[in-house]
Amino acid sequence: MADTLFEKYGGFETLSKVVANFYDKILDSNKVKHYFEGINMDRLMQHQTNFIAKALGGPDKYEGGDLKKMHARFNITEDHFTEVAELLEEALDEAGVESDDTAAIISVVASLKDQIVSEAS
Amino acid sequence: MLKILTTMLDELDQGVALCDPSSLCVIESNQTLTNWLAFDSSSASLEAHFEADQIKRIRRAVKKDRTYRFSKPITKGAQSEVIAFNVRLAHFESGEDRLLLQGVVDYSAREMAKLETFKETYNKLLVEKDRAEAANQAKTEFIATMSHELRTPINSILGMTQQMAKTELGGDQIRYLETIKGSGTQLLAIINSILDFSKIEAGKLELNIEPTDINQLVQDVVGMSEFDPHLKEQVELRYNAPTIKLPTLDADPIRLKQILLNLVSNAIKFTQQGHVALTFDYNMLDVSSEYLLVFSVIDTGIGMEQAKIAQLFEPFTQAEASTTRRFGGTGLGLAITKSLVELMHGEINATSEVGKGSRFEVQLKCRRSAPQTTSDGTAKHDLSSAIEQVNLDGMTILVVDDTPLNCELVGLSLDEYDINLLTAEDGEQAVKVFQENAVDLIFMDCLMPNMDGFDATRAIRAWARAQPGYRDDQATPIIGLTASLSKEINQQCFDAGMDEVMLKPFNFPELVKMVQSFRARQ
Repeated sequence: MADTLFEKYGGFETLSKVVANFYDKILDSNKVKHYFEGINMDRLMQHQTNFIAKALGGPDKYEGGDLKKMHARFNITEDHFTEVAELLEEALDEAGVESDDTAAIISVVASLKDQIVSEAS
Repeated sequence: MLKILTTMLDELDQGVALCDPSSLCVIESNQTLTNWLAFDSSSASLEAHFEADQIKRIRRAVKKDRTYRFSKPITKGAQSEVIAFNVRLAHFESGEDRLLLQGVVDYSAREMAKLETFKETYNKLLVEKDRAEAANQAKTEFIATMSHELRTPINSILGMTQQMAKTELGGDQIRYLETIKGSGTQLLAIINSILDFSKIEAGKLELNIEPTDINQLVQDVVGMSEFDPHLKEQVELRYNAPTIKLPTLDADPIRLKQILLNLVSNAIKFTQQGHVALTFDYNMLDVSSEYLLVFSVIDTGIGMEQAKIAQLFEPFTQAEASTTRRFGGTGLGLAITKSLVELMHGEINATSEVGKGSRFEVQLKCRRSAPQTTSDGTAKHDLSSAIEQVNLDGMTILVVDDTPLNCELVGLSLDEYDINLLTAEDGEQAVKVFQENAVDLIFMDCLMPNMDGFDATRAIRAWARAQPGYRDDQATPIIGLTASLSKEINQQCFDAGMDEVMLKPFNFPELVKMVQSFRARQ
C-alpha cells in the first residue's frame, strides 16, 4: 500500500500527464484562458507539477515564489478560481484518480483560495 | 454551394459531426468520421461508440459549456490509429446549440509507438552487447589461465630434452631429439604469444619503463636475429643506425625488443633471397628532452597486395590462409606488435609490393631518462661478464618447488658439477632444511601450498639474522622462480628479500651462469 497519494498514482510520470491535460483544459476555457496569454506554459507546468507533487506528499521540488504575490497582479475572481479548481478536478477524474482522493486534493487547493483570489466576483 | 461545402467536409482528413446535446444523437457527420466510427445511420447516438466514462464527461462538457478532449484507438483492417477527439457546444445564430465533435489522427501517438519499438530493440541490443562482452571477457580469462597451465608441462618437456641431449645418443636419436626440442620451443613461443595477446586484450599488460640504451637494444635484436632458424643462406641481414649515439631514453626494453624481433623474424620468414634490413633513425622534437624514434624493417621477400595490408594487424589472420600452412605461426605476431606499439602511444605502418618486398615502420616518442644517481637496489647481475669458468663443485643448493620435476631439472642443469642438492616441497620444509644445513644458494618457487615462497623467504631471512655472527653481505642468495613474470610478482619477490627472479621454463646455460655469478661474489 502506497503511503502517499503521490506514490499511489504513479508519481511524477502520471502527475505530469494530469497537469498537461489540466492546462489544455484551461486554454480551452473561455472564462480563464486570457490569464495565460504570454505566459511561459512550460515553466508554469513544471511549477504546477512540483506544487501538486508536494501537496500529495511527494518530494518537495517546488521552487516557485509566494502564491499571493504571484497571483496579485491578475485580479483573479472567485468565479475564475472555482473554474480552475473544477478543471483540475476534471483532469484528476480523467486520469482515474478516485473521487475520495480527488476531493482531498481539491480541499487542499480550496484552502489556498484566500492567497489567490484578490477580487470579488 | 451547399453541395460544395458537403463535398469539402467529406474530403477533410479530420472527422467532424454535429450532435444533439441532450440525446447525443448524430445529426450530421462527414465521411471521415463515419468511416472511423462506422456509423450505420445518421441518428446513431455517441453512447454506442464511446465508453460510459467518456459519455459522462461529454455530458459534463455540455452542461458546463466546456471542451472535453479524449482519445480512442481505432482499427481499420490492419491499420491502427489513435484518434484525438474533442467535443464542445457550438452556438448557432438561430439560438440553437449543437454538440460539435471533431477528431484528428494523433500522429504523436503513432511516433511514440514507433519510439517504444525502437526503445525495446535498443534495450535488447544493450543486453546482447553486455552478454557478448561478458562472454568475450570469460574467453580471454580462460585463454590466459590455460596458457599459464600449458607452460608447466612444456617446462618439463624442454628440460628433459636438454638433459637427454647430454647423454650418449646414436643413429637417428639426435635428429629425433632436435625435432622434439624444435617443436617444444615453437609450442612455447605460441603459448607465450597467446598469453601476451590475451593479456593485451584484457587490458592487463603493463609496460615497465626504465632507462634504456636504444642503440644497444637494436644491436641486440640484430644479434639475436642472426640465429633465427628461418634465416636463409642467400639472405643478408643488414643493420643501419645513426653514428651519433642516443642518450638513455625511458622505454620498456623487453617489449620494444619484442616488437622489433617480431618484425625482423616476420621479414626473415617471408624472405627467400636478398636482404632483411633493420634501420633506426631519430629526430629530436621541439621539446629537447623528447625524441621521435623511427624503426624500419625492410625486406626483399614475397610482399603482399594492398588489400591484405589492412588485415595484417588483425588477430588470427595472415595474408593468405595458405601462409599458415607454408610458413607456420599463430597469426598473432603482428596483432601483438601493433597492440604493444599502441600501448607505447606509437604508430606502426606497413607498405608492400607483391614480389618486391615489404616495409614496416614503427614510430615512437620517448623522453630522455632522468639522470641515475644511485642503483635502485634491484640492479640485475651482469651475466655476460667473465664468470663462466667459476667452479661450482662443493656447493650446497636448496631447490624449493611443489613440482618435484622442477627440482630435478635444476639439479640436472648443474650436473657437470659436484653439487650437494637439497629439495623441499613447500615453504615450511624449506625453512626447516635451511636451518639444518649450510646452504649456499636457494631456488625458491613463488606459489606453493602451505607456505608460499615469499613467506618462506621472509622466515629464512629472519632466522638467519637472529644467528650469532650474521653478516648481511654473507646472506644466502635466494632466486625466485616464477612461471609468469610481471612487475607485481617481481616487486613481491624483492620485497620478500629475494635477490633475483628467474622465469620458468629454465634456460639451462642461463641458470648455470646465474649460479656462477653468485658463486663468484661469495
